[in-house]
Amino acid sequence: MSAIPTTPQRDAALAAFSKRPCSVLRMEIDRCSNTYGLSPCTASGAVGTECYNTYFTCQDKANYTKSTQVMQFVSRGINAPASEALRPYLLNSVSAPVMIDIDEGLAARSVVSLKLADEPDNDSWQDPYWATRPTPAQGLFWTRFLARNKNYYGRTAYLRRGFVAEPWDWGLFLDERYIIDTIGIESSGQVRVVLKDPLKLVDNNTIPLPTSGAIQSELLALVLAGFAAGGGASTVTLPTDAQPIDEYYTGMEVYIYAGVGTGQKRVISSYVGATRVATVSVAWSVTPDTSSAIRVGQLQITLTAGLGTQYTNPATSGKNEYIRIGKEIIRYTAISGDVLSWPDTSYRGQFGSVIEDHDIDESAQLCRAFIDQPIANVVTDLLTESGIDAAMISNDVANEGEIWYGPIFNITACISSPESASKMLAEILKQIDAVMWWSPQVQKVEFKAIMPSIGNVIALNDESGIIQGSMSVKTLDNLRVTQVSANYSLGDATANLGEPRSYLKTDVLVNIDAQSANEYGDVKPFIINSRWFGVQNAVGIMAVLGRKANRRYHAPKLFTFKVDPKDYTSATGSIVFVSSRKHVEVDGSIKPESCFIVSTDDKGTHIDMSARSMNFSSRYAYIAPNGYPDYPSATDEQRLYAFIAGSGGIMSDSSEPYLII
Amino acid sequence: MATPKFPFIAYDNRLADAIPVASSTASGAAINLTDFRPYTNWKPATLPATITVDCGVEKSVDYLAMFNHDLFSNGCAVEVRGSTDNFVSSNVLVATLTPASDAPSILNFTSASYRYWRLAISGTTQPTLSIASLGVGLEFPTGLPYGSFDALSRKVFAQVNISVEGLPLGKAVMFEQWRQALRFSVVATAWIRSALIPAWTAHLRDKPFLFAHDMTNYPSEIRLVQTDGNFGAPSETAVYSTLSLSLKGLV
Repeated sequence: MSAIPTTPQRDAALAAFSKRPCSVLRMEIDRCSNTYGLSPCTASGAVGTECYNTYFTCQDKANYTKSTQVMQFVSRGINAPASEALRPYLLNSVSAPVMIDIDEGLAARSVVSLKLADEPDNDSWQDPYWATRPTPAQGLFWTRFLARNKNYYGRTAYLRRGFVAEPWDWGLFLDERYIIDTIGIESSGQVRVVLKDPLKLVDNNTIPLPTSGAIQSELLALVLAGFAAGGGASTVTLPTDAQPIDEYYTGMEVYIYAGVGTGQKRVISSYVGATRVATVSVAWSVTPDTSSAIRVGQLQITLTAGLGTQYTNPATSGKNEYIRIGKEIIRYTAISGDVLSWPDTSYRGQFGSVIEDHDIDESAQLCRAFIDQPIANVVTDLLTESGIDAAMISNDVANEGEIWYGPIFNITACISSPESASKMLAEILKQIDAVMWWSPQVQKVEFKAIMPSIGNVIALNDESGIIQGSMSVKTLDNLRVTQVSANYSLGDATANLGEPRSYLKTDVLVNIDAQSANEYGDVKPFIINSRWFGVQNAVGIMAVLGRKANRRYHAPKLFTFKVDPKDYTSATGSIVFVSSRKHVEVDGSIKPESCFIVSTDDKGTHIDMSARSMNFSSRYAYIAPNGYPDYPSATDEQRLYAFIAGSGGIMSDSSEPYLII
Repeated sequence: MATPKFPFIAYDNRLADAIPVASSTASGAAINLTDFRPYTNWKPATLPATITVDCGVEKSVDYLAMFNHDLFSNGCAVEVRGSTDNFVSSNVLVATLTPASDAPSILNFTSASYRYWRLAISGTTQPTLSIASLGVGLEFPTGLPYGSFDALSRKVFAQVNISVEGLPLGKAVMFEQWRQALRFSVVATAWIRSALIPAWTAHLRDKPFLFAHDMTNYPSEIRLVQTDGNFGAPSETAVYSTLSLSLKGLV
């Protein structure tokens, strides 16, 4: 879990009693770096008819040279220094921050809605040729902006939250990174800019990409079968019902599946229709005879002319590549123009799919397969292939993946039709008990296994942390479960994922105590249908089921409260120790609760924070570092680490011992 | 304390009479100096730098105002120059402003009239300027009465955070505002008609302007203000009225 970036001066400002909060919207908008009419721009309009150095007003798109213009807008009421180009258009911002749902895997994407003022201005900021226009710019700043810039979607924007100081100091600001989603004019004339986190790209993009190639000739499950009519060192005479057309079977595979020469496969290099003699490319090890039962199958398809480029070339991807035709998945190993080919017929019917006949014009959809890949690789690939820059992925994906998810969680799966990457990520995360979210402050996609954490744990209490009147404690009864089950090992990668019978294996854990009449007296199941894991992952699946059953035995608590900016040192996803008189032990004493921060929203004047109890049913943790006191003297925060129990198997305060896993 | 100067409004601007021409530009545009917006600016690429405007006809100037600038920090001075021939052979130094700080400043000088006006900036490092106004000031014919005018008041918009147990955690100041209802007694109604109303119609009603309550004794207490869109001038006698005007601006 990455810490919130900071600077010494920001730390000092946070610690100061009085501060002057300020927000700045920074938008990075496309601009052409050329000057109108000067090489390489060949536009030649008269003076006053120049473009506005945007793509949509460009008069020489072939030579458009994309660069970036930074536009910054500051909160109203802030006197920025002359040297900072900050327009005070920012009227307010309303955030729906990242909200981590521990049990849903992929966090709700954050949305920031900003209201900005609009006004007339002389256009010198946005129009490089304003001085030579025949008439002064009409309209308002934003209306003109929208007319000239249609391609703002997905461009980077930052909400810079910090404090005013003299002299102005950007080191006091914490930049939250987003992408621009929409810009619109409201009925009031004000402008609404909506920013979303870059994981929005994961919602919009599919993996694999849709492909539109169609096969140009039949692809049969079996072209020919029967007993060979004879054989030679490098030949085989096909059965009498073979086609009497020269070269008809050239390029196909002949496979001896019974009789003399069983198991041999060869590619037919030539075929004489009149004699039905097929010459194979490599001499037989055992020459077939009339007892040899053979099958002839195709080893390639030709796609719609010109569409071969839609398909990934295994030679360049370095991965196994697959297509799905109908309900059959075929691995191909080479592309030549529009021809996809495979070395032998065992490459058909992959991932449990059934080899079948395919008619002309059936579509061939590119697949995305993962073969024995670690969790971190699969998650990273899904992110990057859906448009997330690899530099924006936290190292925790690899680090936590390595720590908590070893080879027993390696994934072998095939996605045979385009699906939202976010849907797939959510599935995986939910099934391995992990969460992922976009951290605007860290500016990375963060990943965390729902496991004990180490690092600095902040403590918030009624005395010095939680703002008066802000704390609420909600019991999340709907999240309690009494039994968990997993259906996994998908029989056919093209099968209906929602059908339990599509899976070959099911494991169930039932919490008998929880279901007993004396305790909760109900049955609350939690079911996983996993296309990602197979029988080789059974140990991992059981471990996850066990953790889920334990963690959700009792309803978790959601703490919602406000803190002063001085306590804004831990980002979403961090562990916080909450002590509130609204959450007590059975004897009424305050019960410190170890929580996972699921949401933070910097309001400038304070921070809205939500934290969910970790609910680890057992005390498993990292072993306490050297220098910690003995357990009886340790603070609650120090007891997040593991201590050795007494010889009686319990801790000195009679609490349960720690587990080492 | 020197005799207070009467309240002074700087709004009239020769630089806005036509598109001002800058000798060079590193960022922004010279026209930004004329819009009374502290967030649009101009920075020359090289020094010395000039901004020149052709007013079309001879026009008067008796003040130079600078707001939101870093002239002092960059060791710069500004000369006001006039010309009858666009500075070919006529180039008259009218006034020089050498700021002692980066605070707002208004330099009041003897009125002069030229068709061409120029700001000539010299110094060591290129400054950034937000508002420059060069024109004829509007000086009130009477002072503000003691007892009602408050040059120092502040209204602080802030939130104080207190813990559950009542301890102060922190304070977030949003902004500070200066707001005053000016009230002038015994103002010549003729001045209101001949000076204030034209200024009101031309600028004060709709746009920000610079207000100095006593340039003699408090030269840096210059506020960029706006009116609330109203003023009152009920007559006291046949020739005098009571003038009231509300102003507000950031501190």
